[in-house]
Amino acid sequence: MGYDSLIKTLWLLPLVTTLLGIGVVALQLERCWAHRVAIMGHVLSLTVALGLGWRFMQQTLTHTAATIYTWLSSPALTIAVGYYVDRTACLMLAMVTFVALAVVLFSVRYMQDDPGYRHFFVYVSGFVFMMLTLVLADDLVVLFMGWEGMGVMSYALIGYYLSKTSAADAAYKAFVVNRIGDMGMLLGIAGCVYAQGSTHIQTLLLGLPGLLQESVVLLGYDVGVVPLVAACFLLGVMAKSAQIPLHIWLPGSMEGPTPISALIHAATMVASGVYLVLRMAVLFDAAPWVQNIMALLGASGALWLGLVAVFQDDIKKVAAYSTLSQLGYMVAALGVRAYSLALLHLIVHAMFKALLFLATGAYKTAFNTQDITKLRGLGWHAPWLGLAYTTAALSLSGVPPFSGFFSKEAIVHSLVHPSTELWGGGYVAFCAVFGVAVTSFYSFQVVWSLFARTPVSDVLSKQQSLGGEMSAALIMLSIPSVVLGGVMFAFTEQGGLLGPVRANWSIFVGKEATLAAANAMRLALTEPSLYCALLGMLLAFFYVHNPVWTARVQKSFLGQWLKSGYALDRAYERFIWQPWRTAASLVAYYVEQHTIDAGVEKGVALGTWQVASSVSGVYVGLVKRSIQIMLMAALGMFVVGLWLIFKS
Amino acid sequence: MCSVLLMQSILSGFFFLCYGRRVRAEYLSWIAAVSAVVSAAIVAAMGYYFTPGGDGVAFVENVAWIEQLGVRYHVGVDGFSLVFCAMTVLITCAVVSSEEAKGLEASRCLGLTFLAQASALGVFMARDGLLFYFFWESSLIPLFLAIGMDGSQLRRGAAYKFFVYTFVCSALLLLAVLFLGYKSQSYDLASWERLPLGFYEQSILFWISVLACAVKVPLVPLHTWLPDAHPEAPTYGSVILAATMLKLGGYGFLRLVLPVFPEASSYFAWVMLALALCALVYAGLLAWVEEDVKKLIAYSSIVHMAVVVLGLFVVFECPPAVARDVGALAVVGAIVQMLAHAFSSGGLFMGFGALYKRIGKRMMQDYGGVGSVMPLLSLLFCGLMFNNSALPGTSGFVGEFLVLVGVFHVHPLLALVAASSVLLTALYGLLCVRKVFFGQVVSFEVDSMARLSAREAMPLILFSAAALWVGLYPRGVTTVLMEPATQLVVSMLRANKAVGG
Repeated sequence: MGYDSLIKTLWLLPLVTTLLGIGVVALQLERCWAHRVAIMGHVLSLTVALGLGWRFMQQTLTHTAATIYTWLSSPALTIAVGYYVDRTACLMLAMVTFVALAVVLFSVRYMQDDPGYRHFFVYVSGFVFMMLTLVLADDLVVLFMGWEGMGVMSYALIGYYLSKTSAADAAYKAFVVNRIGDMGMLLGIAGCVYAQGSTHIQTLLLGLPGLLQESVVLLGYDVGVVPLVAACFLLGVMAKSAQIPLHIWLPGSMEGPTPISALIHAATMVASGVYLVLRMAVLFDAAPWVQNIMALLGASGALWLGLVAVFQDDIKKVAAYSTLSQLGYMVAALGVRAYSLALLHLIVHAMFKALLFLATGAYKTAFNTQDITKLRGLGWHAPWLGLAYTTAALSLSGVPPFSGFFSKEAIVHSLVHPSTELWGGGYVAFCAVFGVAVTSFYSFQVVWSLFARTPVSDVLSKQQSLGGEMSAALIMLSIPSVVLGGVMFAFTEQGGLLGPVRANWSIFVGKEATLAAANAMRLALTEPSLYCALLGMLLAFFYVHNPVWTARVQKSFLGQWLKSGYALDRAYERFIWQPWRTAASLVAYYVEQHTIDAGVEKGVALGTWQVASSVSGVYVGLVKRSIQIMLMAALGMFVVGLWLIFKS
Repeated sequence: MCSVLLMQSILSGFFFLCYGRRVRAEYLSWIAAVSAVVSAAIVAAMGYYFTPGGDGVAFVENVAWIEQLGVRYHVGVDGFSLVFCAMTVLITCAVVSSEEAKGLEASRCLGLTFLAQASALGVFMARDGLLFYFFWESSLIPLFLAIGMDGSQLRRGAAYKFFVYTFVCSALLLLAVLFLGYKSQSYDLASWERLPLGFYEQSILFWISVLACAVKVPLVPLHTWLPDAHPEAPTYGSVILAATMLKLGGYGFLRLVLPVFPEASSYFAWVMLALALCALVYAGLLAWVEEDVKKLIAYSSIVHMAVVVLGLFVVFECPPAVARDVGALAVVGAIVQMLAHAFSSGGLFMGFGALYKRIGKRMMQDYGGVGSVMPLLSLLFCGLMFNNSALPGTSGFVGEFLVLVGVFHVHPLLALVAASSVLLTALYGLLCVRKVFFGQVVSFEVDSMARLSAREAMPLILFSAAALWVGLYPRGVTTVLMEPATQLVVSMLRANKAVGG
């Protein structure tokens, strides 16, 4: 098959899977058909995606693009639905389909007793379709369809247990917060039309040099059009990829089923902001202050949101805050133009974080709890599961030779030695380095607890088996969590996998921070981050094994404050949500009811009525009243009309 | 063709009103379905054989009506009319297919629906000023009757308010129409566009016509009749009111205000833009704290129609170099926004009507957990709510986006205000979804609600499919609209250049 048909097949497969899934729901077929269809569809998608990637690697082709149909055509703007595939996209496609397959396999057992079993797989397939749309799109509007479509699927899946109040609130919050980002996206896309008259990404990037001088006046300041557009997109990235201060929706999204958290809220959707910046990297290169903001925001998230994970009892919450922290690393890397490193971390993170989440879900299935205090010591009683969790934790902490090491080491290096002028560079470096220590601390806090030699709680007696599919999913993700980073790094050095990605963006060749694999080990010994990781592990060991300390730290005011995520939820509620609600209610009461409505109605309507009544001098019924008003109005019009006619 | 469509609608309407009760119930549905399908088929045929002449109008019928005054029965269809006619007919189909149009009591609903369709089609097809005004005013009657006779407890007050508001303001329109007719010795709408009017005349006539259109649209501060009318109106009344009648206001801007008073429109464009932006934020905030679901959808209508007004007047404030192309795009956006609003508000009223019929309550706190009781309804309602909040891939996005592109050309900060509608619609729309469909089942009443019947689902599916179609393939609609929109914008800009330059 040619590229074209391969890509189209890949794009359509999840859609077909979704439609078949809807058929299963509509016809109320046996439950097994729901997962058979989904697994079949995702196996095919993965095969096609891997085949596509394989062909891409073997050839020197940099990209392939085609238009499928014209969405809108006008003199001012033409938008076409089409795809643009380069090596970045190939990697993303393979990653998405791979994680999706693992998640579907895992869900067969995890969702076994759920009444909405059939719907669940439809949502997952629908989500994958939207994600592929985002990855493949060559036009910002089409990309935005995928972007928001994922948002809807995420909304539906966070609110999956819809009778649960907390889930319903979390779904609402997630969508609304993401809408702030969508506003930014919309404005950014409109800005592209303003600047370039096009939303086609490649046209936009090629035309960029001509736009660098253009500016608009905002509140008296001259702002370049390109940085303005980049800032708008940054708002979108901040919401989707959960950067401070718009990250608050992500911890809430853990209300959804755990496999979904693994797929959407760890591996794929939350990384789409990073992917957007990768696609539009040239645009961001032309906006240095936007990049600087990205570096600062990302680094802050990497450290301060990681710190929150230390104080969580729920291991799913640990994973959630860990995701926030790792997304911070990716965005910070984008901020210092370490694009291929951000991509590397994105892919690798997808693997080990999905593994971490699925292992968490497996604990939930096996022991029906995610509370670390109850899981203490259970690692020895479910050794394979413990091993899977430890693999993910090692990779997450950046211990060589696990996958996470390569990407994280390189990112920290590029943040400590930024290749660009960076305002607040010292702070960024500080956050990046200590973030590593915090990461390994919270991951190993869980691991050491799991493998603590203590009497286990009663959850062990109710242990459930995991089943073949669930184990398969865990194994499937464990392998890349261990080796993928090294393999990709090796390819990077040969200029194979990631190299041409940079070559496409010839504008910033030479500027980008890169790191050769051979140097990675040498650097690891001279740079602080590996030592930080080891230090974090060590500290975690002592922390876990000293219950007195643990209790004291957890109970302290600081501990409580950190546990609540800096009490941000409450702050938003009190300082943003409540004041606006109150203001809106006041407007509804005073302005709407008592000024506009009462004013217009009583002032105008009753005024006319009173005149009418006084003219007729008798009480009149409803119909008569209206007739009178009409007559009055007609009379008035007649007079004014005469005046107008004679005046002209 | 136009007359056949009009006559068919009027005859169907009177047939159902006069003879509906004598026909057996099961035949009634069939007759209604056939009439609706015939209307749809005529519009479809019009679309298929649409070959406009030089002035962009096709299927012209032009005969003398009141010769002494120069009033003619002059109807025809251009790109704008075609799209609006299709929308009107689609809404009739949806109402006819709904549960409300079933049974003996349905004869009034059917009759008024077809009469409303006739008057709306008349407005959309009229090329003569007085004919336009005739249909414009006659559209009040079916809705007045629908609210006043089939509404809930406070229906009389609501119907009265609706009638007085819209009648008084559009009666003023008659003044403008008569004046223009007198001045140009003709009631031909096209001839009015060439009428040389002084600036003061234009301004006065502009504001009179804007008043008439703004009440229909409705634009803040003339909107208060809408949130009062909707809760009291029966479901079919709400659907027609929101989906068809509000569009008459928008169409009035397109057909009368913009082409006939281009200089005044240009001069006062900033007022309209400011009003629309204020209305958008204001109504959005009100919808957010509204507890009555039908009122919430009414406020949502105000938000969306404010976007429409924004799109229509954006052209005058655009940088001159791009005003033609971007302005036309924004006008197209405004029209697609009207379509999108017809689908979403029509669908939402239908969907909520199904709930209202079951337990007869309109407040959000009376519902909760409906999602687990009526899954299909919640899916469709949620989908229409997403269309309402301009989700890409639905029709709402196309309109919102094209208008936003226009506004961005005026000023990025104005675009920021306009884009806040995206946030606001999600804030109130999903809050409504959250309170009604999510959460615990609040009462036994809610728990024992019957599932959605096929006839209740039908209009919702129709509206959702239309929203998806326009959202995924807007070119089908925009190619029809682009031609007349460009013509309109060009003529407006030319008129302004003649005056200003």
